[in-house]
Amino acid sequence: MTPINKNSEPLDAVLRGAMRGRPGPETPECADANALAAYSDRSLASAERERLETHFADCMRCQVLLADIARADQQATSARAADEVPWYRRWGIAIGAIAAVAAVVVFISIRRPTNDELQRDQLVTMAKNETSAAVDLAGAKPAAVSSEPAAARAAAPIVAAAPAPIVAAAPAHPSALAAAPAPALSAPAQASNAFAMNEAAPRAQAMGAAVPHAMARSAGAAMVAEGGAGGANVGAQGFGKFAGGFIAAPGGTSATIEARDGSVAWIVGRNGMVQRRDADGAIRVQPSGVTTDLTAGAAPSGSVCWVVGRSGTVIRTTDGERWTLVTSPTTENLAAVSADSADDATITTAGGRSFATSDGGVSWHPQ
Amino acid sequence: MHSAGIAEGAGVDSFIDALHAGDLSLAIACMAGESAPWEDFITSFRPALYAAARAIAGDDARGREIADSLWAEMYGMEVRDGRRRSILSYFHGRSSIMTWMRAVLAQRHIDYVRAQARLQPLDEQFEQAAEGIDDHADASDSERARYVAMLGKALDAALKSLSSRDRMRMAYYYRHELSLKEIGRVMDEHESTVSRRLARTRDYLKGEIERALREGDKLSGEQIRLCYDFAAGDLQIDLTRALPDVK
Repeated sequence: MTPINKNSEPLDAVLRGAMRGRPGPETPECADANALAAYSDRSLASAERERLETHFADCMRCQVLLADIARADQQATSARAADEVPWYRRWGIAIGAIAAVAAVVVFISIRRPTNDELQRDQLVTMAKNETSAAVDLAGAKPAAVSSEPAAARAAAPIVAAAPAPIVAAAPAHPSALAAAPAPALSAPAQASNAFAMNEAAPRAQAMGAAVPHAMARSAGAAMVAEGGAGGANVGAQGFGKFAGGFIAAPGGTSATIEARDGSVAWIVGRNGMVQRRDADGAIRVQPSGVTTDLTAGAAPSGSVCWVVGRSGTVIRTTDGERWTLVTSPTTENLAAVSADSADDATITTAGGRSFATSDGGVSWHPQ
Repeated sequence: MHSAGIAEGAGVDSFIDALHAGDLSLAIACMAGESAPWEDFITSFRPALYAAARAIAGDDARGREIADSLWAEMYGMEVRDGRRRSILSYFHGRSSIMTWMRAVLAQRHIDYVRAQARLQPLDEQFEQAAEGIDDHADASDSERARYVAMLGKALDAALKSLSSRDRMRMAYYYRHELSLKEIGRVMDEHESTVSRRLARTRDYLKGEIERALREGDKLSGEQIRLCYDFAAGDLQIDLTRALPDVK
């Protein structure tokens, strides 16, 4: 801010030049530090102030001192002002924070359900379907099922009645399972608990398409079967997650296969999609070498994973990175796989047939 | 040398009321050599003191130097009769202790500048002025000196006719180059008031100068313009000498 818009005129240059000079020595009339400070703080009585101003008007030394004090004072004031957050900025920050929280709330409320939530919901749906199917078929009453394996074992016998049975004991969501009616099937009881069901499942007689999906866990490795062949009811499929196990994709979109040691997981899905998720959560795509839909997998370790899919597709990695196509004993859609190592695996078709290998897929033996 | 006024009679009450008692107590406690008040003093004022020193010196290194020096003097490096002698004994409580420290820093700095100037007869500004561009090199030196002298005389008379506060305001603006806000703080005026009064004073000076040149020296408008150009261009030192009472 300038007092006048004429600072570039010759008069201003003359005034600047005319007023130049060096501060002189201190004289008896000059103010001492107390007087200068008191004048600057406006602590002086008016008479004393006027007396000093008469001197200041023509004393360059005192002018310089007062100017220096004013500069230092102004600098301190500016620094304080810079440190203080003005009210509108404080409110701005608060409003911004509130808006961010609101945005998160809105996002959470409208976002798509997560896999875990889908898994929970679909397990419930699946269990209900199982229950109704079993009641219809055998007139048996549904039995209560707890997520606790022991409780499940103590419950009414569960019998596999579908091409592959449903295991409703996902540890990740016990509450959902506890709330769901237990699948109760009319076929002769072959398994004494839910975890054993998959042993009997492939051998069980298919009972139509009412319960098309199955998830089972076998010997620590797991498999997911997706109904797709034979008019299976896709809408009833579900997710399961087990240590060293599997997850099938709803509608065949994707399945998550977690290594038994929990170090990594693979996500497989349509058109040969394979993604690896590391322990730190980083996800990267891995070329699978196939383009068929992948439906299930089993990972006995962080470096070994077997994945199966439609049209008898079997792929495997033994270093956790590179995937190779394994010669398959069938062209049927594969619905499940269990594996104990890079050599030992059992695959199950959607029709319930199983094949096992103990040499990494070089040879398969019907089970 | 003038110190802050000594109150007498009825002024005693107002004098006491105006004292910055808290700062004065702190200074006395520090002078007494007590550690707790000194630590409080350090905590409260050390950063501000160094910031003030930087602002006054306009240079970090020099600012730190004068601040260190003052800090040592306030602590009292000299021991006499078993007691440290602190410069805080000169603080009378007529202002805040921070403003007093700024005043002392300013005094130290100006003394330093004067000492440096004695070693360097002409400062850079004056050298630059002497080497300034002359747009009227064809004019004779004697004629130019005559024009400058006439303008100097008219300016001198005009400045002397100003009130003390008007002269102070002009000096702070043109000589010390304070901002309007800073001038307002010194003169206890709002910056808009400062601006308005500066403009008024400047117009008054311009009118007085040109009236003196036109009526006293019988110069034409063109000659008055030459006066300004010559004076602004190269002869500031002469003009400075023409001004009264520049100490």
